[in-house]
Amino acid sequence: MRALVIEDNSDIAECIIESLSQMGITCDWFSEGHYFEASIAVATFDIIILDINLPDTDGFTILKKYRLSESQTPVLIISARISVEDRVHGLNIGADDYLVKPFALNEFEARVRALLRRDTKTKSETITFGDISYNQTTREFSIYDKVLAPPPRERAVLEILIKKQGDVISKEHIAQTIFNFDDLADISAIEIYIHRLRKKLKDSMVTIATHRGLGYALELNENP
Amino acid sequence: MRTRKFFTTLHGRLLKWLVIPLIVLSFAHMYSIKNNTRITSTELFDRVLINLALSISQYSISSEGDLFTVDLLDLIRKTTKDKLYYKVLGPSGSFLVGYHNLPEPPDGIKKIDNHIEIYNATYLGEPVRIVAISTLSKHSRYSGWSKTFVGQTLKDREQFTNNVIWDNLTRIVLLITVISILTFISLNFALKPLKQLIFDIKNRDIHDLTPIVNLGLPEEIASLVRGINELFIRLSKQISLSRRFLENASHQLLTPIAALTLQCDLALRKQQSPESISSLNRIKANADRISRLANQLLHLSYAEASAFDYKKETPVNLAEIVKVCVADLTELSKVTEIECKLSNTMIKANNTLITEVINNLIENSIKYGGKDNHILIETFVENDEAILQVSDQGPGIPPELRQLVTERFFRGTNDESGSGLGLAIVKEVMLVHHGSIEIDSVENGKGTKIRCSFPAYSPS
Repeated sequence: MRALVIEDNSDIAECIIESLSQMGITCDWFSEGHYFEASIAVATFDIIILDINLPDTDGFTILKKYRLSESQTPVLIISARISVEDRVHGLNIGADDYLVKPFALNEFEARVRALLRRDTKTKSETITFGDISYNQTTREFSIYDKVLAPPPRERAVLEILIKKQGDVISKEHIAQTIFNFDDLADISAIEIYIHRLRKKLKDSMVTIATHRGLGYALELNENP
Repeated sequence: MRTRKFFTTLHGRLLKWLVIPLIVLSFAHMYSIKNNTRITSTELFDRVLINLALSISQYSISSEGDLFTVDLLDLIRKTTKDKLYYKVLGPSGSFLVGYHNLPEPPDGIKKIDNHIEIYNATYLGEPVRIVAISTLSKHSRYSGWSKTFVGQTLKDREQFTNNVIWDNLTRIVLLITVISILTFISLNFALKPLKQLIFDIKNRDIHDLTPIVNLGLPEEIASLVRGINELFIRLSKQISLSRRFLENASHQLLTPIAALTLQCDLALRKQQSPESISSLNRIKANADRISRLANQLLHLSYAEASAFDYKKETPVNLAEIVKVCVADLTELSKVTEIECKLSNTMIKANNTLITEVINNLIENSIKYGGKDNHILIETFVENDEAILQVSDQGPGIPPELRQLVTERFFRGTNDESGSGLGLAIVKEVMLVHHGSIEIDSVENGKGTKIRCSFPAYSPS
C-alpha cells in the first residue's frame, strides 16, 4: 500500500506518516502542492491525503484538476476549515472523505481503512483465500486460527496478493506499492520477500506462483 | 419633553426659524404702523377741527354771538362721536359765546400760519385737543381780532388708530397662520421620499448591503443615499476582509492544535509508564479544550461577521441536522441518554452555524445535566415558527441568571470546564437567523429547557 501525503505542517505530516506506516502503508510526503502532479505522474498511490491550505496553491484546485483526469484513487481531505460549505464543496469536487483538523489519530486511521477497503474486490472486513484470512481492520493474517505476523514489507506484499484474489501482479507494481520515492527501490528485493513468504505459507494450502515475465499470483495448492 | 422633541424635527425647526422671526418682524411692523397712524390721524382730525373752528368763528361773528341753530348743531354732531367744546372771544377779549373756561393755549406754543394754535389739554377730566384760531372780522359791531377755541375729546382719534392697528394685526396673524400651514404641507410633500427611504432602510435585512436604488429622489436626499451606498460598499469590503482574516486565523489556530493532539495520540501508543500516560492524557484533554474553544470563537466570529447572507441561504431540515449531530457525538456523551422527537422542520439557515448551535446545546445539557440525566431534543413547527428545543434533567438555571448565561464568557460559580461561549454563540446565531432564544425550566425550576425559534420556511 502506498499513500501520497500533501500537508504543509511538518508536525502533522510526521504524525500521519508514522500512523500510516504503523498500518503498513508506505508514504510519500510533500509540503507543497506543485509536487502533487509530478508524484502521480510517476507512481501509483492507493490513497491520497490532501490538505486544503497550502503555501503555493489550495487543495481544492489540485483535487479538481486531478478528478478531471478521471483518476479513481480515494482522496481524504484534512483541513482546518470549519464550515460545512467547505466540506460540501470538497466532497462535491471529488474528495472521498473530509476530516476537520484537529482530529484524533484513531478516527483518521478508521477513515483511511474505510477508503482503502473500497478499492478491494470485497468490501467485507475479512478477505479469505483458501485457508488464509486477512482482517482489513487489524491488518492481521491467519492460517486457520494461527496468526501469521510477517514483517511490514512482507505483509504489504501478501496484502496486495490476497486483495487481487489470484490475479497476476507484476513485480514492478508490487515495488511501486511498497517502496516510496526515498527508498532505494531494488526490484530484486521483491524476490526475497516472496521467498520468505513462501516459507511462511509452507503449512497452508495456498502458494505463491511465479508467472514468468508477468509476475506473481496466489494459487491453491492441489496436493496438500 | 414632547414639545422639545417637536422642535428637533424638520417641521419644528422650519417653523421655529420661520414663525419666530415673522412674529418679531410683525411686532416691529405693528409698532411703526401705530406711530404712523397716530401722526396721520392727528393731522387729519386737526384739519377737521380747524375747519370746524373756522365755521364756528364765522357763524358766531356773523350772528353776533347768537346760539347755534339746530341745523348747525346736528351738522357738528354728525361729524364726530366726540364731545365738542367751543368758545369765541370777541376783539378785546370779551366773551361772546360757548364754554367760557375752555383752557387757553400754553405759553410759547408755535402758531401755524400766524393765527392757528393747536394743543393738548384736559377739560372736565378728559384729555382734549384744542384748536384756537384768531380771525380778523370787519363786522360792524365786532371789528378787529376775535379768537375761536374748539376742543374735541380724543375718542375718535383713538378709535381710528385702533381700527387701523386691529385691521393690520388680523391680516398679519392670518398671513403667519397660512405660511405655517403651507410650510407644513410642503414639508410633508418634500419629506415623502425621505420617509419611504427610512421605511426601506428599517425593513432591510441586517446583512443586505446591496446599494439602495435611487428612484427620482430629490437631490438633497439622493446625496444622502449616495453616502449610505458608499458606506455599504466600504462595509462589504470590511466584511470580506474580516472573513478572510477569520479563515486565516482558523487555519493558523487549528493547525498547531491538530499537530499537538496527533503527537499526543502517537506518544500515548508508545508509552508504557502509567505516569506518562496520565500526563499525556491530560495534555490531550487540554488540547481538546483549546480546540473546542478555538472552534467556538471562530463560529461566534463567523456569526457576527455576518459571514453569510441570510437571504441566500438554502432551506435545511432541522431534524436532519440534529440527527447528524447526535450521530457525531463523541464518547463523552455516550453515558447520557438522548431522546429525539424530531418532525421535519424546514428553516432557511446556514448549516455550519446551526450545527454549532445544536452541538452547543447538547454539550451544555450533557455537562450540566447532572447524574441521571435524560436529554430530550425536539424539532417541530408551531404557529409559523420552527422550534428547536433541548431539555435536560439538571438543576436548571435560576431565573435571575437566565439573561446572563447568554453573555460571552459568563460561567456559573462551580463551572470549571466551560468556556462561557456556548450560549453566547447560540444567541448570536439565532440573531442572524432572525430567530430568538428562550430559557426556561422543565418543571418547578428543575431542569433546563432551551427553546430556539426560527421563522418557519415555506416554499411559497
